[in-house]
Amino acid sequence: MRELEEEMEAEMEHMLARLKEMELTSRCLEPIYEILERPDEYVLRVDMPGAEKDSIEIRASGRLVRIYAPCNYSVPYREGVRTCASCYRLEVEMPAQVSIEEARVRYRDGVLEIRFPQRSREFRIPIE
Amino acid sequence: MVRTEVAPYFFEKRGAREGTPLIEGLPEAGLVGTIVSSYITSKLGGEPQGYIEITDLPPILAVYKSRVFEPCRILRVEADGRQLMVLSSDVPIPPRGFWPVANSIVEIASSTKSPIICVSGIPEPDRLDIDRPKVYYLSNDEGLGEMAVATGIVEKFENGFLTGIKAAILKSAERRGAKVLLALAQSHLNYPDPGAAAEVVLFLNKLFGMSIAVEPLLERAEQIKMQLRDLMRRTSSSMAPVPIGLELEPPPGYIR
Repeated sequence: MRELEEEMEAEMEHMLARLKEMELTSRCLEPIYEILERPDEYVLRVDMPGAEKDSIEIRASGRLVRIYAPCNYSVPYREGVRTCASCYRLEVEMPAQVSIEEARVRYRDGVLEIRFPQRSREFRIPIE
Repeated sequence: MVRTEVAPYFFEKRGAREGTPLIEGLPEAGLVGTIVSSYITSKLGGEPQGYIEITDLPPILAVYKSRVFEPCRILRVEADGRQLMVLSSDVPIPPRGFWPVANSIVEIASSTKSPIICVSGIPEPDRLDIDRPKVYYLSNDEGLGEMAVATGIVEKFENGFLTGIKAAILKSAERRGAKVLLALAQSHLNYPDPGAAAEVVLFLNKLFGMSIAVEPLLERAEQIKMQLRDLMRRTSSSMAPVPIGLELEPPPGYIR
């Protein structure tokens, strides 16, 4: 159990290091996000403090959602690392196909929220 | 069952008055505790009073303005003639460190007969729709509970689950007879939440008769969120084995 826990921690640490390295070289931040699955919609929430509402670009194709936005603040990095990020970039796979035309979007307190209605392909079976 | 292992710690009793409240602001939901503790210490300045070694972590030190600090440290601050001790951490506490760290906190607080004030967030799925998050309190001591009620800005935590370090502190405190007050603000789970932290600071102001301005905290909310995004990501990963979802559920209670 303990070994498994340590393995998971090492994997997580490796992933966080890779993510940070990618942010430093691309000068683009990968925002923290979460996907909520509700009975009638998928909700994608992305934490993007410092983005301008009108500059946020959202694209969706199939299950893939791409978000890009310039960012107003520079991120404090450690001593000696001069790179400052200037934008957010996120590519996320949703649980099912989504359509941006049908989505409702808001940006509040630095959090971008996109609500995609679930396109139901199910049909009702009558019970005899 | 309360596990009794104690994380190694150093605590300098000199300078700490008996009964000085110990504010625990470790990283958890929305980093509310982290924001509150670091805001208070950066506003009021603080003198190192001690530190706790986080069990099983490799050696880590934090450097601020060329000064070396333990990542999980206790600072002593003075505000409006009142003394506080503030515990904060630059790194998340891994779940297997909850018991040892909680037991150390209770042992330290007991050595100065200090009440422990745990400040944290309580996840609220509709947080985006809430302008002023509510602060809930819970205490194992009647007097502390009455003090919280007297502020007029908190609601009693009636039903729900508590998980993580605050649950371990409450359980450990029962064993040692230490006084604990939880102040939990409705918050985002996975994003740093300076708005929720501001409500907790307002509560602490009223509780201890202080006047720490929260406007700068709210004005700098976006910068604070950016500054804390790495710690937030680490905290969320570290909390993955913690049944945090329980905090969104009502307890089944007693079926009659």
